[in-house]
Amino acid sequence: MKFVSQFSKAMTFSLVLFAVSLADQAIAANNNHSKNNSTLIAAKARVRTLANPWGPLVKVPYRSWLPRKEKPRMVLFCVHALGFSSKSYDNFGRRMAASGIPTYAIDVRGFGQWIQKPEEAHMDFEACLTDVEQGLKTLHKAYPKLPVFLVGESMGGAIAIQAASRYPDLVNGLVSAVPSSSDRKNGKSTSTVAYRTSGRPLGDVDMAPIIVDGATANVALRKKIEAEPLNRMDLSKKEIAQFEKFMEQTHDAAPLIERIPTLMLVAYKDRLVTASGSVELFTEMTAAEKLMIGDGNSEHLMLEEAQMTPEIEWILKGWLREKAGKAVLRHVATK
Amino acid sequence: MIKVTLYTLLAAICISQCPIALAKDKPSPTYLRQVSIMKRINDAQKAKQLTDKQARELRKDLGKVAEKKQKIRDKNPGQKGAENSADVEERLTKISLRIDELKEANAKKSD
Repeated sequence: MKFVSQFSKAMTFSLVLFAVSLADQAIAANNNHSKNNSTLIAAKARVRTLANPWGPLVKVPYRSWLPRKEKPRMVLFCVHALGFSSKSYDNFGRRMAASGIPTYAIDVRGFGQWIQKPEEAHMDFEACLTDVEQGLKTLHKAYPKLPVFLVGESMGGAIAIQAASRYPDLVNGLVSAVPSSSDRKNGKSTSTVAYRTSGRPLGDVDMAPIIVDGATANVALRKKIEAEPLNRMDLSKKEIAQFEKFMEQTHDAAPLIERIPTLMLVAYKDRLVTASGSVELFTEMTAAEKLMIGDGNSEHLMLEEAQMTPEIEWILKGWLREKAGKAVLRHVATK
Repeated sequence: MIKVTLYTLLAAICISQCPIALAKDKPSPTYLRQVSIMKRINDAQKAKQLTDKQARELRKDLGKVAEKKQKIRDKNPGQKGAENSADVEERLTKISLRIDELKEANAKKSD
C-alpha cells in the first residue's frame, strides 16, 4: 500500500515536471519570438547558384540565410509561389536563421534568376522537381545527420508535396502552405479565371491582377510585389495549362505522403483560393503525423513577403523543434 | 531514499523505452517496396526509359495503392502490419511489372 502511495506521488511529480518543462518551452519560444525582430540582422543572407551535377551546364539559383553562431538542429529548404522568386522568402529566412535554423530557397524554373536568361525563362516542373531533389541531396551532404524540412507555399507547397512523394528518403518533414490552386468541387481556379478573362486565344496572360490582388489587400505590398524585377506574372497560355495540370497532379501525390511528418497551413483570409482545396489535399495524405493549422489573420501569402504572423511563426518553430528531435532519435534508433 | 530510487527508475524506463518505441516504428515491408518502386520510376524517367506521361500514370497507380493501404489501416485500427495484405502486394507487383513492360516497349521503339 505504502509502495502504491509512493508510486502515485512519484507519477504526480513527474507529471508536474513535464508540465513545467512544457511551460518553459512555451516561454522560451515566446522570448525567442520577441527577440527575433531585433536580431533579424544576425542572419547572414547569401545569393548563389547551386551546381547541379546531373547537367554540368545547369545551375540552380538559390538564396540562403544562415545563423551566425548557433549550432543548427535542422535545415529548411523552401520553394516559392507562382510568379514569385526565392527572394520572397527573405524575411522568413532571416527570422528562421535568427532562431538558429539555416534556411535555403531555390528559384523555380521560369522564375527569379531564371528569367534573366530568355532561353530558360519558361516553366518546367519536371526539371524543378529534379532541382529540388538535387538541393535536398546537397543539403544532406552539407549538414550530415541533421533533418531537412521541405517548405513550400501555394505552387511551392504543391511542388513540396510532389517532391516529398517522389523522394521520401530525402525529406524529414514537410510544411505546405495553401498548396491548392482550386476548389475542385466548384471547379474554379486562379488559372481558369485568368484563362477565361483573357480574350486572346494565344500569347501571354498577365496574371498580376489575379495573383497580386488575390494574394493581398495591402496596397503597399501589392505595389512592392509588382515592382519586384525577379517576380514574373506574365505567363503564356501553355504555361498556365501546364501549371493547372501540375497542381491537379498533387492530388495523386498526396496519398504517398505516408511517413513524412506534415504541417499544412491554411489561410482564412485567402482571397485567391478557398481553403477547401487544401483541406481536400490534407485528407488525401496518409501520414500518421499530420497537422493542419488555419490562421484567421493570414491572407494567401502566409510565409513569403514578410507575411508570416507571430502566431504562425510560434506554431511553426514549435512543430519544427518537435519533429526535428524525433527525426534525430529515429536516426539514432535505426543505427 | 525510496523516492530517489523511484525517480531514477522512472527516468531510466523513459530513456530506455524511447529508442525502442522509435525502432518499433519501422517502416512496413509494403512501404519499403512502395519506396523502391517509386525510385525505379524516378530513375527510369530520368534515363528516358519512361516518358513523363507514363511515369505520371505509374505514380498515380502507386498513390492508389497507398490509399488502399490507408483504407485497410482504417478498417483495422491498432492492428500492426494489417496493410501488408496479399492484395496490396499484388497491386505493387503489377506496377513493378508494368514498369518493366513499358521500359521494354520504349526501348524497342527507340531501336
